[in-house]
Amino acid sequence: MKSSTKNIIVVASVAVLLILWEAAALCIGSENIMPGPWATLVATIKLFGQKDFVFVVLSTVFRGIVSFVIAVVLGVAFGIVAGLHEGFGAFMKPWVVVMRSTPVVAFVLLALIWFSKSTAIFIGVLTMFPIIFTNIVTGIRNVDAKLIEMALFYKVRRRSVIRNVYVPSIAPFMFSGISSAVGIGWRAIIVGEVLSQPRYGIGGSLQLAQMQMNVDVLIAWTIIAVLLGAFFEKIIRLIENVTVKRHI
Amino acid sequence: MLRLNDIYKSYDGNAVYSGFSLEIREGVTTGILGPSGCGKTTLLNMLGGVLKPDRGEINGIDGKTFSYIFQEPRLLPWKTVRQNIEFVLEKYYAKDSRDRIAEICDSYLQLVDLQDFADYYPSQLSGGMSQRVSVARAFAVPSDIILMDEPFGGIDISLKRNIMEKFLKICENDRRTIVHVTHDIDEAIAMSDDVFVLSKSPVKVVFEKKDVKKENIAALKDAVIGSL
Ligand SMILES: Nc1ncnc2c1ncn2[C@@H]1O[C@H](COP(=O)(O)OP(=O)(O)OP(=O)(O)O)[C@@H](O)[C@H]1O
Ligand SMILES: [Mg+2]
Repeated sequence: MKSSTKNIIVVASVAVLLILWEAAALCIGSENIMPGPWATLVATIKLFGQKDFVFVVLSTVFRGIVSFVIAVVLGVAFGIVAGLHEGFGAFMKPWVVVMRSTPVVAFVLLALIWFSKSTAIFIGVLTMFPIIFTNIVTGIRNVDAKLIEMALFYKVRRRSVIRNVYVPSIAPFMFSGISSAVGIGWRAIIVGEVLSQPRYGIGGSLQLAQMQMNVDVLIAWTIIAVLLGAFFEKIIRLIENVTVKRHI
Repeated sequence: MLRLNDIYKSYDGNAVYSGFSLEIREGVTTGILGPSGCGKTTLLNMLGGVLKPDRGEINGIDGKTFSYIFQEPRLLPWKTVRQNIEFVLEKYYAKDSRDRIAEICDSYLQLVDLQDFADYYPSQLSGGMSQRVSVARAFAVPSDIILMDEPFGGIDISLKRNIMEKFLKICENDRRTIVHVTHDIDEAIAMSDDVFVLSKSPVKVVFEKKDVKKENIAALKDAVIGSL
């Protein structure tokens, strides 16, 4: 399909969404329960003017970055060891299965008891780590043994084999892990904030808006969270396009 | 002399080699013929030191450097033709300039008639072209021993003849040790100094001839066919 045609379809899809939203708002007929798109846009713009808006956003972004860095460092390190040593991989498997299949909310409730203030960071790490870990392990298992053997016959130096064979084969897996981890982790961190109520944070602001029945503010914060999440994924894509050459 | 001494090798309990011995002269080309699945690739892997025999020893390979033309090209898909060759050359020309390395790459790409494809990626080449890159890579490396496993598979006859001619010239100049596995009797006779014919399960030498170039080709060919 031509990309111009695709763009038209996307615009039409967004338009349909906005029309349905407006229609729903008109049906319900109460700005307090169901604000329309226009009222929400106004509320969103107003948020930018709030005096602690920047603090709120930066606090959540900061939690996101801290837990992202921890998850990547741990995920890559453990993933490499597990990918290379089958025994360690088998050892890690149940841990990762537990992390991946436990509902985020269950972790949040436990973390509230154990960590209180840094709950959101903990939750972020816990959701992102297993995704990155699993992708690194899969990436290492997918390295073509025949290419490694070729390098072995030619007695290519170990460092060069790592840089020129291992890293390029694992990179696409790592980036796909990182980009799904960012999407899922970002949402989990906000859930963590809703329940742990740190002083500043998007999750806390959502919760406050809900308690005060400010539906327009609630949706406005949601929009900001969505935009930031999309922004981070875009950055990851960009880094991926610059570093990973696709010729396969 | 490369010497395989009373070699045993099984895969999952199936003995491929049991009490096998063979001597390969250095500085010449040895052609190895044998039925499919008899253990020729296994032999090259053991000579290259990457596969260890279960029992027995292989003398004369310690400290040697190798080139290997595999049955399939084995190129790094994320590197260009030139980068693929540089990847195995690096170690040998660490002190030389990039220009010098590029020059070496070019001259060997010329050998296989791919000088215009240096900046192509393997995915942009045909199977035969990829195999030619693998040939260029093996010769570009100044290794002591070149192991070749059906090196000209998928390369068309006229080009193959052309490469073989240049190959013979290089061999005359460099006096490298070459072990050449092939199914093609004519190819083995045309290119080798020594020829071995192997039989199956477990591997035995059923025919051998030193200094093939001094023999009557037709008679030799009949003898080889008779042994197969
Ligand atoms: N990694 C392996 N695992 C199990 N069996 C193997 C392995 N490699 C080879 N074999 C077996 O060992 C025997 C010899 O294999 P090898 O690849 O050395 O044969 P070959 O002479 O190179 O055959 P071809 O001419 O078809 O390439 C075959 O019967 C094969 O099934
Ligand atoms: Mg073989």
